[in-house]
Amino acid sequence: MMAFDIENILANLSFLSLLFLLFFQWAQASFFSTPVGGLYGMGIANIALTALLLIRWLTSGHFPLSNLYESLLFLSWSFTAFHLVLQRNSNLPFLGLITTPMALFTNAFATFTLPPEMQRSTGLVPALQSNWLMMHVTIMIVSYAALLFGCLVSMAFLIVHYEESKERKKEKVLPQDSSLPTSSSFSSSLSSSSILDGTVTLLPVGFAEAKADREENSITRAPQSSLADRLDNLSYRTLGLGFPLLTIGILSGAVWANEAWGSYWSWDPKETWAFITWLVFAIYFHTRLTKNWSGTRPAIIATVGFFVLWICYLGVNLVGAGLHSYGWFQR
Amino acid sequence: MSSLARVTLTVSGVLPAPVDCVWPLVRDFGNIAKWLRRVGSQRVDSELLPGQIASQVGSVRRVLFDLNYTVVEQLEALDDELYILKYKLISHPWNSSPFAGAFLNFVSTIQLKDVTMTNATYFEWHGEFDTDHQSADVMRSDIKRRFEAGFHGLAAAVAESSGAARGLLAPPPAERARVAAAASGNLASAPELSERGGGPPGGGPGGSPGEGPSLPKVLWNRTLRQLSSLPLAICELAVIAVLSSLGTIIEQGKPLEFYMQNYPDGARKVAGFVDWRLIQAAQLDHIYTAGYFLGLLGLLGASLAACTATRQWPAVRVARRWRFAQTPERVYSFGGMQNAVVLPNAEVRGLGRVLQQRGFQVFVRDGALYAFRGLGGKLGPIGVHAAMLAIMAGVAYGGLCGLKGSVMVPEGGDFLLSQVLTPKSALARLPSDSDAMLRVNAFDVKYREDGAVDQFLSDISVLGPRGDELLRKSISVNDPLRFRGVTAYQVDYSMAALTVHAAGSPLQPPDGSPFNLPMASLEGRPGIKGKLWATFVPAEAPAPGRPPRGASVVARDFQTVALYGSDGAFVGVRRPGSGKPIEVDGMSVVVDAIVGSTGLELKSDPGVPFVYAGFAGLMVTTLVSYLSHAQVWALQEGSALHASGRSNRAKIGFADEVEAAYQALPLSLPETEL
Repeated sequence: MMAFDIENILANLSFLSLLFLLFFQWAQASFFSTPVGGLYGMGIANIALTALLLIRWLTSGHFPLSNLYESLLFLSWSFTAFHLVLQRNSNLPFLGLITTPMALFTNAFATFTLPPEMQRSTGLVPALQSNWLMMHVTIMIVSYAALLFGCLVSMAFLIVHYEESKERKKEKVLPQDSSLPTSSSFSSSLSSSSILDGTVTLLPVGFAEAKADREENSITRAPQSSLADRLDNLSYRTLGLGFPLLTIGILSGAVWANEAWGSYWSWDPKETWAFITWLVFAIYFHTRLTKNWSGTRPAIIATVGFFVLWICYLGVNLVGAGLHSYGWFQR
Repeated sequence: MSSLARVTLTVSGVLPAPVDCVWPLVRDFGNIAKWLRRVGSQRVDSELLPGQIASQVGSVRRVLFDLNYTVVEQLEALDDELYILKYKLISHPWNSSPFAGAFLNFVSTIQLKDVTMTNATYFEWHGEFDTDHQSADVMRSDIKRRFEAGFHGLAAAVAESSGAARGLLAPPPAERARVAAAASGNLASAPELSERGGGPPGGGPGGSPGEGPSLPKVLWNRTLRQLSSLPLAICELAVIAVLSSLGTIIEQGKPLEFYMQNYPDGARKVAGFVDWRLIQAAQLDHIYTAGYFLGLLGLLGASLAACTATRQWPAVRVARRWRFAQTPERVYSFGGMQNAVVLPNAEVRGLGRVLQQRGFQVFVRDGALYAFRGLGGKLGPIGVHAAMLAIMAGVAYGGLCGLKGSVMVPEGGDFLLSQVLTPKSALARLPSDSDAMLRVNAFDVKYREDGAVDQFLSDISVLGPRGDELLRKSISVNDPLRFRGVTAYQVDYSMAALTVHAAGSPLQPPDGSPFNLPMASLEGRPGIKGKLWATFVPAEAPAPGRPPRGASVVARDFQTVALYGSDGAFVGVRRPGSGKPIEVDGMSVVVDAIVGSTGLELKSDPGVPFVYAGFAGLMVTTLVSYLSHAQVWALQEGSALHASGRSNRAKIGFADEVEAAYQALPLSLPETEL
């Protein structure tokens, strides 16, 4: 079995590159406190996993997301892809500290804990022989990846927020309430901006000065956002991407179920937990609507969502009940 | 301090109600929202901060405008003899950082006087504050307009309450409404009375009639408001989530004995309190169809509708009205202080061009600019709610008017649709033209090389009333048959009969033709795992008193059968149709075929189109909601440009973007007057 050997090599390659990356990033973060990169390690893992799944597709003749092993590898692939996209589009110095362990964990779980007979590619049971498989399972797993990542960022936010508020308490020895600007600070900032001085129209103002003026006048801008804010925003954005994907995944599954099983909703455990996950994140987005609930409360809900997601993804199948149990942990 | 100017202003008017009627409204410091109206605000809320005592000097209230920004004020003096109330501003979002539109040290006094001759009240509202001298005039006129709006709001509130109870504390709204409703009932014959008039109080104890909304309307509005409450909606979602999870922990739809066995009462209760009685009482054995669960889903639907009606839609209307900011102060109030800036020597058209390049829709008029991008982010959530409602409506429609049934048909068998389909409720009807006969021509199981099932295939014909074939299709698990609103799914299979030749058996016809033996399923019997069927080929005629001799034939799938002798010993395995005989108990048995039965699920669900429409809508709208709705306002004032903007998502990215836009703005040299 040539293909099986190549698959093995690729799985090990992706695992090892992630493992080395993990050590490397932790060393970077803890000893040198430099920004964590990981473009190459993630890139190698991503390419290896892509190749692995493609080879399985070619050799089995069906879409390679039909059992737990394949879906875990795809989840791992999603984390690496996520990292690569986010790394390019935003300079987040801590990104790898979240994505690498996730990718490594799912990869190791698939490769080392699943028995070989579950790793083998088998034929599709009748219910899975549909083009919906491609859409439903892919979108579900990508949404899991996005949501899991967003939840972890929320948890990181909780920790950073706690640390920052502790520091802020220490600093809070100022006599004045910061919400009330003193008249002196008000007038000083006003006098420094010539536009409000009333004299500006009488004096010729050079371009350079005007430019400087403009920067002066930007004092009304909020200060540079803190790490906690950036984390909060990132988790909101990722969850905001994962949630529509989860919606589409669930609904495409419902349409498929209506084709295959005769009912678009049958309260099968997997369906139910996907619905519960959906509700948890619906709650998350609604708590963010109210101003006075922002900050820690949605983050706590996202933390709950993290565990609900794992129940939905693995827990239901470990129990092994319901219509979604094929190709997974069967008795 | 030289650039600051002290602004003072006073607004006064006469209210057509006695002072005892007006004062209770004014002195109720924490509930100013009862009467305060604001220009450009849809909704005003107010409350005393937690722990504050009403009408206590020093108590602090917050006033919330459009659930958007909050102003905090403190009560400084309250005089019930002279009807004077003084308060000062503690915090205002525009004062959080110094700029031209701020008003500092804001203090205000409201005073009432009794106009005894005409039984009216003189009202005076005075305010003073510091602001930048350049914006002083603008600010004065703006605050003046606000005070005036407040006065009109107070007049309306007084007119509403004075009818109910003159000279007393304002009654709760429901009571007020009841009185108003009773009064309007009395005067139904006097239609010339205007609906909303601040007419003088008088007449009988009923007060001025015809004012205010009627009782049903009040109750309706209040119900809507409470249904649309966000904490309620979040609670509903959470409770539905918890109940749903219960249904995955406790097995659903099992017979009572199952629960009695697995959830015993007495000392061995599960988790100390869960026993089968509790499960029965709380309907946990069929939670997804329990009345309270469906009721909760209905409540969620009502909340969705109420939220759209009272929050989302008005917010869109407001957003539309907010087009242009006519004063610098408005620019900052619309856009918020986060991204506010005063740009010297900048032109509004320049900003418009920069924003246009960044994908904004830009409107400019008289030096005022309004720009937006990603309107879908604003409309998306409305679509989400609408789609959810469509799904719920479809599910309810299908649940009430749908038909369902399942049937196991052997090859060659047929049945009438109307025999199998049972209505889900009394409302359900089978579409009149869709009753037909279904005939299973053949049932086949395809196996892969490794012996696992590849696909189940049923060849089905739809026959009309005269036996004419209307439709013929081979259905499989992912490929159902549809016929005029009825769908037939391949869901199950069974073995109906075994066709054999058995020379030596009393059942063997003398002409040597094969005969059928019915097969029985052994699934679920003790010691049997999975699907298993069996039949018996007798070797002698049945005689009373002892079991007959013969061959037991056992099959797990359609590929092979195993044969056992009378003594229970394994004899051999044969493939059906191979034609190879096997000797059992003196018979020569040839297994010709296994006659399969196909398990069909039939359904007629008129709700599916609505559910699918909702699905499609939900997929699109959740994605669209991900867009961030960004708005920018700007106003030219001389050579300076006031600008600000907000976004409902991606706030940090938006802040960076507007900053970049401000920096990209071309400088325009001010015209020198030398």
